[in-house]
Amino acid sequence: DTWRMATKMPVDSPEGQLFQQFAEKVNRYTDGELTIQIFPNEQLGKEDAVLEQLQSGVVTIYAEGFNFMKRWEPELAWVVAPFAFDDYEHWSRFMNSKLVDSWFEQAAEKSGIVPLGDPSAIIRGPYRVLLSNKPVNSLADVDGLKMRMPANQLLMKVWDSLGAQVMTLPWTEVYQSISKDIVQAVTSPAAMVESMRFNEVAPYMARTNEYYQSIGFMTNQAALDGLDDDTRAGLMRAYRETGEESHDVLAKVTQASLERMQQEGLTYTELDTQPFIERTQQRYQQMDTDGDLPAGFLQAVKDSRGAAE
Amino acid sequence: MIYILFGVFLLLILLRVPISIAIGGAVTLAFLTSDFSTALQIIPQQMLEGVNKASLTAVPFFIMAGNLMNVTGVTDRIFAFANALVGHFRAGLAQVNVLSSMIFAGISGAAVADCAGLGAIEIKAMRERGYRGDFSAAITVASSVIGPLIPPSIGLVIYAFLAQVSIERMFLAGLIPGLLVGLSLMLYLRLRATRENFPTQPRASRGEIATTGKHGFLALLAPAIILGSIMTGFVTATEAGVLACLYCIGLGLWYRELTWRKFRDALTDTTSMTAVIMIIIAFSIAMGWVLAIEQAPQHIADQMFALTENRHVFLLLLLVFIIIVGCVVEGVPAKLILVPTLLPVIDAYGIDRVHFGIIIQLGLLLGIATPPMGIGLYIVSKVGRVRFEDVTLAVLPMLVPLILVLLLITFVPGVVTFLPDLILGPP
Amino acid sequence: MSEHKNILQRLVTGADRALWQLGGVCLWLCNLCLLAMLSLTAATFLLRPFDVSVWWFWPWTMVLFIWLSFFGFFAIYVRLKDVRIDFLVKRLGRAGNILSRLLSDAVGAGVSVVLLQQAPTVMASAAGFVEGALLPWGDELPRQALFAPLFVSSALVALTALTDIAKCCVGLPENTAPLHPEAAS
Ligand code: NA
Ligand code: NA
Repeated sequence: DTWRMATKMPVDSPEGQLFQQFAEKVNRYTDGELTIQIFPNEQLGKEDAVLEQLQSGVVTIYAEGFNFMKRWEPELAWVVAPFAFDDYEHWSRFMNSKLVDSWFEQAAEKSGIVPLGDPSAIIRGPYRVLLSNKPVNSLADVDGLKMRMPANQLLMKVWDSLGAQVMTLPWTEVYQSISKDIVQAVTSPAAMVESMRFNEVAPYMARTNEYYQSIGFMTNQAALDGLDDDTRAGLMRAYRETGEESHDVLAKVTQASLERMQQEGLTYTELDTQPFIERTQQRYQQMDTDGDLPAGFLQAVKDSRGAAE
Repeated sequence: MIYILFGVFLLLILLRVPISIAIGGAVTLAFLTSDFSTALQIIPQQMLEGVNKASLTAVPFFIMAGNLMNVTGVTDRIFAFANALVGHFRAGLAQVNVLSSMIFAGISGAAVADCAGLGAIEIKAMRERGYRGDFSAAITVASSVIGPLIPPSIGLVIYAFLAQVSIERMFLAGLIPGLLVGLSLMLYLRLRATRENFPTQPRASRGEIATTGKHGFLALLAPAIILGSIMTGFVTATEAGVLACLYCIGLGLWYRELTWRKFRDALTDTTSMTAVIMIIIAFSIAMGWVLAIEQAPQHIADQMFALTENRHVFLLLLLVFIIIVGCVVEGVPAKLILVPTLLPVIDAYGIDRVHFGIIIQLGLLLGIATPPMGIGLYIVSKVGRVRFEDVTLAVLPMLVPLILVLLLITFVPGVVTFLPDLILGPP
Repeated sequence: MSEHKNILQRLVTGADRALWQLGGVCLWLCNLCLLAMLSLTAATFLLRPFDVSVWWFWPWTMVLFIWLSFFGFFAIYVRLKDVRIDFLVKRLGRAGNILSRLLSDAVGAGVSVVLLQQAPTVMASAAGFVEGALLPWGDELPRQALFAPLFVSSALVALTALTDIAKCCVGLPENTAPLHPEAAS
């Protein structure tokens, strides 16, 4: 078999290279039974178009963030709930909880698309930062800060309740807008800052761990079910190993990038995010009372925290 | 497969099928003969992909600005001012024709607005002065090539999005080549005027220059405002287009030239032209999808690379190729097919994407002045009431200075990259 | 001339005229989309100095742009706004003219019928909403709304092409329009 795998990332990006290694491993572990053909750079289209191709089986794997699955199961928007999780491990347990499983099952019923294995395995980011053109050292500094947000209602609500003045802008216009002080800050995965050159206009970088992200390998269920057991085992092994590697690779790449940017005058701080979490927690409680949260969400967040102890 | 697609597309166009339908036909055929004949839903899905692009929203506004200038009399004022400045040169009104296009280029993003709007005024004035109709129409087409090089430019917006380069960078890169094309045409006219007798007119007095300058001042300010606002980053390219439209509306009201009827006509012209471009883009993106999934660009890149490894030889081959394609395919669909196909090759030869963007822009632009697909020739032959064949012949010698500039920018990349690197820093 | 038309010809002429009028309606829809895009974008940068930003402006600008493009598909087809290269066909005489006319109609009908056939599949899989394109009652615009004008236009293009074939069969001439509107004046 040949599977087509679509991604937004260029071949030479760290993520693009991970995918390349994944393809090589699949070939090796399945003894050539399964070949993965990668289409980088949005060659086959943007999210919506690729998800539609994934449904029809033209594309077999789409490597992107899971929150796009919310078109079939709106609750899946909450897998990137900001300031809801203590750390990656907490989030990872949540991603493998019964609640999130049931969300993915709902989505699979409507779309025929399933995650390939542990949905938190391949890390992205590897962590979220806030870039600003003036220092942000605490929650107080966020007050009145003009921040760029994607057109995502949840994110806008949360940052609004943290005191920021949110504006929506296309991602590609952020650089210009900060340089003209139209906005003062943007949130981004740490690994992406240097390539977007945000550090040139916003030399203050604060690690927020706003939320945790993974690259989901969203897979056409029929194609996955059509594999024989040995091939599927090989595929899953390749996926697991790629997940493990993603942590090392991204950590290394990001550290190197951070050092380069610091030499060019970037100030890096790690925020005490507890106040952010507490303030957002109040907002979540309020939303829960109003019935705006998915049933069982707060409980599942709490339960997966408990599992650490 | 790509060659068959191209063949079908060409055949349909030559048989008078509308371009948008011709490319739709080619892409439908491509799907039906590929492995995806049962996945035709991808065509409409990719069409939406094609038009759902933020950067392309600048297109209608750059078209609209040109149309508004034509209906509000701003164009006449530009022409009058250019006439006062260079009308007394040898081949005076022909020089005016070129200079007007250079000024007009700073507001309009398309060549057709130049040919149809400004061209109508220019050809009429030149004929009244005793110039031959075919010569007047020809210099109008040749000088309309300047429009899409000097920013704003629809073609450069489309290239920027295809090649993932910033629009600002492409715009800055087009400025010097655009001016060079204008100057080369003026030099060409000057040389030709030493051998031929062109009608002459007296030098404008200081007073006339001042008066036309005063009348045209607000019109002349427009290009500065637009370019300035994009370069300083206060507005995005789309917003600059809107700003240009608002400014032209303001001028039209100030000069008491803008009536509801004229506004409506400008609006309708804009939407029809935008729709034509966007439908062509929509089908081209669907075409690009088939080509991508069949991995056609990589194959072509491999073939090209097998041909020669010398960058200069490659560039020369590329130029010939682009000019030939430009003769038979209109600029927008040509770019949509060629750019994604050629980018891997361009990268492999280490050619700067901004540099390549201007090469392909000017190379394809020559096509508006060459048969059979010379859209500019069609327009001026209608506007100027000249036979298509006659303009086609008259424009031939004027292609020489254009091709010389094309060779210059191809082999001296600094001409293109100097300004963007100076203002925006190296990429 | 018109009093000599038979019933069939009159029917076909009626259909032709109705489609032409409908093309005008579509053009106006496009014009309204463009005016709204102009207003939203103008408002965006005029309000910026006052630190006012309305976050649904941008997503709606994109929606209007898509509608403009897709409604325009029919408008440019029926109103003959697209470029057509006629130097070769002119030389081919009457037979070439009829061949080219029927070919255009056939390709136009073929392409739009293929598009139309896909409508059920596309609409079914177009799940979800256009992020940020807020409706007055607080929902976001369903993604199907982006495709709808394309399919409406496709249906009308198919009708136009078939009507022209019918016209050709009953001996009525093809519609013509100037290459560029300004050329008419
Ligand atoms: Na221009
Ligand atoms: Na001119």
